[in-house]
Amino acid sequence: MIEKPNPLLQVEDLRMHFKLKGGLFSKAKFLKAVDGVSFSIQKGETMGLVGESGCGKTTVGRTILKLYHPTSGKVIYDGNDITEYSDKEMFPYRKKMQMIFQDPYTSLDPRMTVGSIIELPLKVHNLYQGKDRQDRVRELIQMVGLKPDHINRYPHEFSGGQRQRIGIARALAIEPEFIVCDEPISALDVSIQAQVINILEELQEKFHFSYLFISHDLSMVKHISNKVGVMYLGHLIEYASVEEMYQNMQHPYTKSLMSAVPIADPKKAAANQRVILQGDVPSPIHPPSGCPFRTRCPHAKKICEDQVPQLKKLNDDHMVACHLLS
Amino acid sequence: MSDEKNNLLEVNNLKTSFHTSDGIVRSVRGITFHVEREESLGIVGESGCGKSVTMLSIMRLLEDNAQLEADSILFDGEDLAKKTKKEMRPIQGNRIGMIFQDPMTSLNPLFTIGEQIKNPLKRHQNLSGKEAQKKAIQMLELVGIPDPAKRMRQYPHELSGGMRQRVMIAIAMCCEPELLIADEPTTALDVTIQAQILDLMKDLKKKYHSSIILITHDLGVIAGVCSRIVVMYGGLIMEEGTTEEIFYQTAHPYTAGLLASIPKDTKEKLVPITGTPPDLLNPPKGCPFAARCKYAMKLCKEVQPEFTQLSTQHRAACWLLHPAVKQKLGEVKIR
Amino acid sequence: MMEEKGIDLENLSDELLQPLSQEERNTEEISRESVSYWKNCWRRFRKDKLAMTGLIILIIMTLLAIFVPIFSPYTYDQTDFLAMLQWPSAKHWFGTDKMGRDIFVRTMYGARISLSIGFAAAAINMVIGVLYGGISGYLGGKVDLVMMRIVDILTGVPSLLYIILIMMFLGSNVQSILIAMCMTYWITTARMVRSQIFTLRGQDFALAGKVIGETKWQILIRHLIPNSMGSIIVTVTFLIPSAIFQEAFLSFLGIGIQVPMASWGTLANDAIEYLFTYPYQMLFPAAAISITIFALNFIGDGLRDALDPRLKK
Repeated sequence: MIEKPNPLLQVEDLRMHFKLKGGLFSKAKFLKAVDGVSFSIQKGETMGLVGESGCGKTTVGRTILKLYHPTSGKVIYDGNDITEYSDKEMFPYRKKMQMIFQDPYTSLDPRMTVGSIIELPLKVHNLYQGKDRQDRVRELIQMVGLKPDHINRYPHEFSGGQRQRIGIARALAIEPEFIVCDEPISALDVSIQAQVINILEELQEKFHFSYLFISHDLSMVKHISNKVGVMYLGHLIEYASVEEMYQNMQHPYTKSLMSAVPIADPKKAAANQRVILQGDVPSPIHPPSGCPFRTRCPHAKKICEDQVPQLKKLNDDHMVACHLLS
Repeated sequence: MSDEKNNLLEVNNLKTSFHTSDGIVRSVRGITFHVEREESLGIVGESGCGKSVTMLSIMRLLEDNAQLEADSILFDGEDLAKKTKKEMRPIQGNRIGMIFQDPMTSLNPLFTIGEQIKNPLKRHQNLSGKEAQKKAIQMLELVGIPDPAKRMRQYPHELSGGMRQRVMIAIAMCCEPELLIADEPTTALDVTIQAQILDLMKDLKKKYHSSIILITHDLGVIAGVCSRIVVMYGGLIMEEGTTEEIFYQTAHPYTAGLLASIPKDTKEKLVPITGTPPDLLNPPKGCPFAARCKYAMKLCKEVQPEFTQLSTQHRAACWLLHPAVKQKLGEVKIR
Repeated sequence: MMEEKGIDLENLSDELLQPLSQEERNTEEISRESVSYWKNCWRRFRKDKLAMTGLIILIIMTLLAIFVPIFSPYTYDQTDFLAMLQWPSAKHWFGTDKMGRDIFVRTMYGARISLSIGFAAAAINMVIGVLYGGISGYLGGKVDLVMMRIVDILTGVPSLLYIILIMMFLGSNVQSILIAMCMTYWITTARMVRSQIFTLRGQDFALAGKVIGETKWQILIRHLIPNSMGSIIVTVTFLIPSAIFQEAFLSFLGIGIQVPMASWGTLANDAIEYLFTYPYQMLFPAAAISITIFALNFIGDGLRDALDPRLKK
């Protein structure tokens, strides 16, 4: 079953439209970054969210953490509807929900030492005191494979992979339950990506975290996730358990996305039947009518232009939004 | 080694270092490789391994704080290392085309697409304004830009990332270069666009009988495009061979480590390479990979290994492959 | 075959073939020494010869300003009618003025006033500018709109107009000059800080602050302002010479510091009538102004190069 009762996090019909500055005489335009996305995550589960740049996957992650105030829809965490919570009401949830950022170069304050970066969440939430706190920082830094004597150094002295691990240590400091991983490996080298993924997996085994793993790397998502959602232009177009998704993908976009992934094996790469999509992703300011994918879809019909396809159940583990499949 | 006459580019013992406020960073520390005519060579390595600096050194586009030393950089028999900046100009963008990672920063935001394609055509091919216009439109059509006449009048910011990279390719290929150097051409692009761009590069290579050097960190991209691969690490070449040899008869522990870091179809745990690449401000005296290598011996830390030739095309720099070490330790299986 | 780098390949010792221990690998080692941002800036600044010269001149000038009036046999307002209008000599290094006052002491006393006004104006303007710009930039939206329109109105009023008004109401002294200058000098700093905060608040480390539960103020004070400190210091350094110049200008016009008090502007004003007969009276204060302003500008340039990360290699 893809949707189980009592999820840790539930997102219902989430919409995030950013207002763009309109001219003096023109109407204000809206960038529909996220346009009706629903899914849920269980405790200890990893949900992968994939899509190309501009599809809204990062906005979903940030809206869940209330970094943006959603236009409509609901974010329900552990049974509490936190959508309308103020910054003050959100404070206790900040301890439970954390985030790992994409770019390890900009997500660490360059003027702070690594020790104080990791210590900051403890300070903000007033956890551990005095020497205990210092011990905790040391423990955290070792947990991600760095050395305790690194705490007095500055972020710029570390390599990308090391910085990303510092970011992970900061997120772990307050023992969260749920972590949004926003493209945590896309800025890293191949050999380092595996290090970071392994750390995330080990920590999940140890602390039973739930992850929302946002990425454009389909093979990593397959590796780490229990279920996967595919986004296109602000819509969730396919949503399934990982086995179901990778064996029985249905949406034409998912199929072409998957076939475009370069395979690091020359023989398999030569055998790969690629579906190369024509053209570019349309602008989210002027999305096409009906199905968002219809402008690039090789099978588009009249109905695709007229109606927005809804996410429909294909079987217990699989939902897809395509007119041609129902 | 392959037939010398068939080599379009031969780089011999290239060393490039940068003078920075922290000291001298030795980015490339003596590399030798060649590119045959009409072949696609892939240079793969992690950030900071010296792969981009290698390309800039060949093109002589290094900044002022860089110092280049090389026995020779032979391009079609001419030594690029000995040329002045002025002598390089008829080669840059004409006989050797370039594509960079970020099309936004390599296109000039103040000029239209049309002007930027016509520029090299006028300069290198002595085309008149009208001829250049015609050729430019043809080129844009060739790289798959819809409505090229209209696009000619647009500015880079009006195009999407994929379109910009197509324009970059059009500019790089318009003078029908013998060699195209592409430095991470698809890293900034989405997978569906990446597939389009890689296909386009392959088509154009065939059409113009060019050679390609594809610099990337993505083994997947290389597997689909290149026939031969150079693996770099810490400013040195670790392994070189045909694509099949690199992927299926992997000889160097670093290459093996890279391949093991990529997720397979199973849920098996990934096997990462531990640690961090060396700081080339103080490069290690032995093998640069020794500190992260699971097979490393004391010898590796002390002396940099020489290449062992494994087949006509395949060579790797690792002590485990050296006959003297093999004699003592026997065959060590690298996986 | 390879050159023998002290290693006999024919007879490899078993020791060399031992696997590396964990310590020998030391894969997370960072070989570069740890340098904080400010230490790194100082290192770059020190290499800038012009800026270092400026700094040394400024230090000498400050020391002279502090100690000359204390240890000199003359005071700044002590008249000596037996030694009026004397050319520079061993007794009066810079000569004397029409009242027989020692110009060397007066110039150094003037340095006290001019430098204090310069630094005080810069410091006050930095505080106001950082707060105003920081709040405006961080809160954004309507607050920012209103705050920036107020700034626009303030810049619209010709500064000389209200400076003269203030001086007339409050009297010509150091405090009123400072007040007059603080009316608008902070605007440059405020605008600069605002634009810095604008770019910084969108950066991931500011978002990270929100994710861990920091309040807006904590983010502003812990992350955003420290990260714009480099640019703030550069802007403020350039404010010092312009404040010194402004004070000299006002005093030269006769609406600033009044005789017998001495600032470089008053001294220059005093010297006008003897410009052709006793030019040294004009030369020394003018030279002091020029040298100080040059020195401060060199320091500012050097700081900009040292603090601006865009020029970092």
